Amino acid sequence: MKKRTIIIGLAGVFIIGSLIAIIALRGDKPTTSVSKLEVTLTPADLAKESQIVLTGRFISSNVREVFEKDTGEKMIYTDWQVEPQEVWKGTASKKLIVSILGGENGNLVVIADTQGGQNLKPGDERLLYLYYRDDLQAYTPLSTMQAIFTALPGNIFRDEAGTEYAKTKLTNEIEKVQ
Amino acid sequence: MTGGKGYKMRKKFLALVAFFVAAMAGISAPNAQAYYNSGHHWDYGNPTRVSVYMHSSILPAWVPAISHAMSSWNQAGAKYRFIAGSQGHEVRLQYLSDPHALAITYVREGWNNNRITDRDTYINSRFSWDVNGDPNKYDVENVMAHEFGHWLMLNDLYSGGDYWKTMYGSGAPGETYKRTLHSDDISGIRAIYGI
Repeated sequence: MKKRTIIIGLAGVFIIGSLIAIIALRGDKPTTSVSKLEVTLTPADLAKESQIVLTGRFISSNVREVFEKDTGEKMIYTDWQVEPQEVWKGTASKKLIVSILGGENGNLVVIADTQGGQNLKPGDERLLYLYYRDDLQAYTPLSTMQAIFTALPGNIFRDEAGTEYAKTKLTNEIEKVQ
Repeated sequence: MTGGKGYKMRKKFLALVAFFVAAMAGISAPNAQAYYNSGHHWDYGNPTRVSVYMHSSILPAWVPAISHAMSSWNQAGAKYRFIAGSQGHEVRLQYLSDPHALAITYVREGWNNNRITDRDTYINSRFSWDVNGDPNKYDVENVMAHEFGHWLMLNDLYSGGDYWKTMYGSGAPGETYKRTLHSDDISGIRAIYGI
């Protein structure tokens, strides 16, 4: 009886060990990292070039694969449903979809080097400068790094580098907090 | 004797605090913002050799500029070499859907524990390009020096204090300073590949 228990125990340890070894040897999923060197966008550029400017809350997300014709790359975008809080420019539906590069779908992982859109989670509030991209058939930020700002109390907005901005009185622009 | 014991305890406590402070300083001080790498890297040969293929869309006049950007990284003193080749990882001029991307680099990794399997850079033909620092055009060498940093797995930097580094993540017309690697760019690449 005791011998049998020991044999079963050893077999269990062997099976679990083998599974761990297989997972370890297989490594991470195939990943494509995307790095973009972007045009420098000033607050005035952001206001001028965007079609919609709004503060909004990220509600939920879905991932989808997009075949980018120009580069022939299969990319993953995360479609976020955003609930507008305050629209500064353009018009936005109550359930606006904003596509942001990066995500995981099955065995394909796409990571955007730019951090702006990568760490979003439901409930986050952001100031977004958006334009409509035909090939995505969705609104997307002008830049994942320069056009997504964390909304802080008191109408203060912080970019990914930690610089804080305040809304100007007359336009849909923001300006650096001195 | 009791006072001696208390003194020893205090000494131990202070030593512990000093150790903790030193450890925290050690963690935060050495170039915390100096460079940013993904933790992944090329791992073929010693030194690692990365073959760069300039696609036929690249104008002949740009080839010396791109080669110079490769040389800048080769001279950083780390264990890798960019080599121009008739095949390999591609640099291409292409019209890109993203109207704000000067260039996009794709890095692919397979089921092999974070080892890079492929790398390509697309220079966006939406923009006007030049190799002589024209103030109204984007400089090929400036942009490719930045992109080759991505090839080696350095990531973008965005803080104001990082502006003068090759890996700063945005660019402007006439800008050429990224052609010359900043000491932090060099530290980053040496940290990844060793010297």
